[in-house]
Amino acid sequence: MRIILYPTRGGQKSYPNQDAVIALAKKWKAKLIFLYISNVHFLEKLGPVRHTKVVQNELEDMGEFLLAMACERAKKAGWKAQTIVRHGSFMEIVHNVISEHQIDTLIIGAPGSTHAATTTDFLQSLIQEIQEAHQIEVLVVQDGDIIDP
Amino acid sequence: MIYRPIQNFFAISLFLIGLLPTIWFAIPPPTYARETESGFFITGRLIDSQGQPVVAAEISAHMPDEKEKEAIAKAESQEDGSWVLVLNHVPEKVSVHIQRYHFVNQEIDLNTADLVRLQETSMLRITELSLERKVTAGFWIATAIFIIVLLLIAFEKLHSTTAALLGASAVFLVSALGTAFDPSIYILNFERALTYINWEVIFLVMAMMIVVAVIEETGIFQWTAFQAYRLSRGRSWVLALILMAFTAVASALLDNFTTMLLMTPISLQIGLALGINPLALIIPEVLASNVGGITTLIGTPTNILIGASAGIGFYDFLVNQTVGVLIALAAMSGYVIWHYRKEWEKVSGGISKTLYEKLKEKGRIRDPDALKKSGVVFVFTLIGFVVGERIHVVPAVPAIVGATVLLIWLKPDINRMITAVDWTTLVFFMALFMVVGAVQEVGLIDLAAKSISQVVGENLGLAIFVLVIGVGSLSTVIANIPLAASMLPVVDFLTGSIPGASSKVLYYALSMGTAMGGNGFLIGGEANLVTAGITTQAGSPISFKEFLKIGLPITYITLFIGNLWLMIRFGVF
Repeated sequence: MRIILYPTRGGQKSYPNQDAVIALAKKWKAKLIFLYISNVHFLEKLGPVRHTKVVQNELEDMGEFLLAMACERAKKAGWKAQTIVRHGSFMEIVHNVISEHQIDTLIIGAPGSTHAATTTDFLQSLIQEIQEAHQIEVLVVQDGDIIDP
Repeated sequence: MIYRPIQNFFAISLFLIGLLPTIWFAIPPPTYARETESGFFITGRLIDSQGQPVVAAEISAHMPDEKEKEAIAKAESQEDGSWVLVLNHVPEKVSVHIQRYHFVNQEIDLNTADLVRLQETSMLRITELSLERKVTAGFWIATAIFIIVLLLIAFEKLHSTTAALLGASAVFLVSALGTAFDPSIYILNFERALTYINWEVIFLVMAMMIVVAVIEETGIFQWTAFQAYRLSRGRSWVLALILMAFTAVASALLDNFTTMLLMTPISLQIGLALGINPLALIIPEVLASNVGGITTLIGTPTNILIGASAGIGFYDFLVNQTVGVLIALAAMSGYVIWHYRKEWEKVSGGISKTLYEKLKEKGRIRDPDALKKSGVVFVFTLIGFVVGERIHVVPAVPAIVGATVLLIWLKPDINRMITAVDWTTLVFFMALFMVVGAVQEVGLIDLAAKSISQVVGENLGLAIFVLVIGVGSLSTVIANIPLAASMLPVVDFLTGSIPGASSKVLYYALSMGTAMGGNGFLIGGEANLVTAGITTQAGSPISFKEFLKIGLPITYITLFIGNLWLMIRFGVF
């Protein structure tokens, strides 16, 4: 069974992309994994350092909830999905999860009208790096459409 | 049977109480020159052009005919500007020299009548002397350092603590090394800089950090947010108003940064589950948290700063600010309802059972025992603030006692509690006090005070307006802590020079201006930024423009209400 990994932040603007990924997983009869990656880099120049751990825990809880909502969308569309919540660097965690779960297809939200977790430059380098490191298929989803980069 | 931690607590308390008299008697009483030394005393007092005491001026007595020789007596002006020269004998001619960095030197020749009086009574009091400021190279360097620190903080080029430390280091380096080339470069030395640190602020902030660290882990914030959701029965506007009210109260009792840090994730989840834009719940919360904190001494770091400097206590803030803040919050609620009316109509319907259960799980009290105990201690700490004011105990004392009782009673991991104290913030305060001290030392603050004084004259209403609306406008872009720290000496001056200002109304005006101004722009306050950081992590970023559209009108609505309230409260018309 093919395994699809889709990292998402779970906001309202990512719903069309989530729906597109769910539809694709259903079409391929693939196992779908939603991945939420939190990081607290925004605190570096900002608040009290003591809050880092508190914010990290809160973000992880929030990530679980956001992915539970994504799973509900999948369920409504007649498909099942799994979730993974991790904390740290986006690139590093995507690499790890691909290896740990023998991912066949990685789908990444493109920056632009959607609020994807990536920027355009970062997306290009990510695709290249993932393909070279894991030899897996990488697709891009933008505004509810899946594109082969 | 008494619970063991309580036994320990009482044992330690008794030990400390027993120790106090021992220390009291062991320490020798202070000695005063005039009581213990014999000789002839010349006394005086130094003030600056604003009537503030001039501290650390060097005063020396010379025999005019032998100027090149050493002084026959030396002294330094004290905290109140007073000084005492002790002469072994009364020469035929005496001149008193007064030297102080950043002031014009003065020389007073004592006349024959003065010397006769000194000889006969052993005491001569010189009339109060006003020293004139001089603009030195150090003035410009200190001003440049101060502005650079503010810019580094405003544009987030450096962590605020690093920026403040950089400023303090630059001041010391310039003073230590630059003086070798040109004495006029001198700003202030380390010993003098230490006197500008307000230790009451440092200890109060530190103690409250420990108290908040215990409370924040009990789950009370998340529980309240979930209860707000249940009470609102899916009506977004009701939910938003309850959340606003809670964040305002929580910010007044704890701090707005922590409040928003804990309220944002759960509010975001509730908003998404309801199918509305979660920012329609979260932005009103952050706006309310910035204003709510104004009502108490511990609600905002600026209030702690203002309270400690001006001797304004918990009860004073509560009595003089609460009604104004409540009116401002009511007006804010009205504007928020109007602004988000369309967004709130988008509620998708009921939340699924799975999501409801997840919210319920998240919204439970995690540690009821800790909540009960910390609640009891917190209430007693608040009582301590109020009672302390009556018996001249500074707020830092009940806060430290409260934090200590929590540590003894709850026995949290002490290492974790030590890390809960945010040392970077405390260092930021210390370094900032030094940098502000530097510009105070060279006379920049005096200059600003004089300029504002020229604008407002003796018009108290105008001074309130300048501090609420003017400082409020500045606070939309300048970090409010450095702003409040810089404005405090100015307010000290205005309070001393404007008739009717002795009611401390101008300090309340500064409190309102610095806090309410934080709502203007997204970058106006740390609570705004942490909220934006968290919502970005959930794919719902707050844009600068989106915040501005609601934040700026609300800033000026609340500032004008705050201004009006202070004028009514203090009878200024």
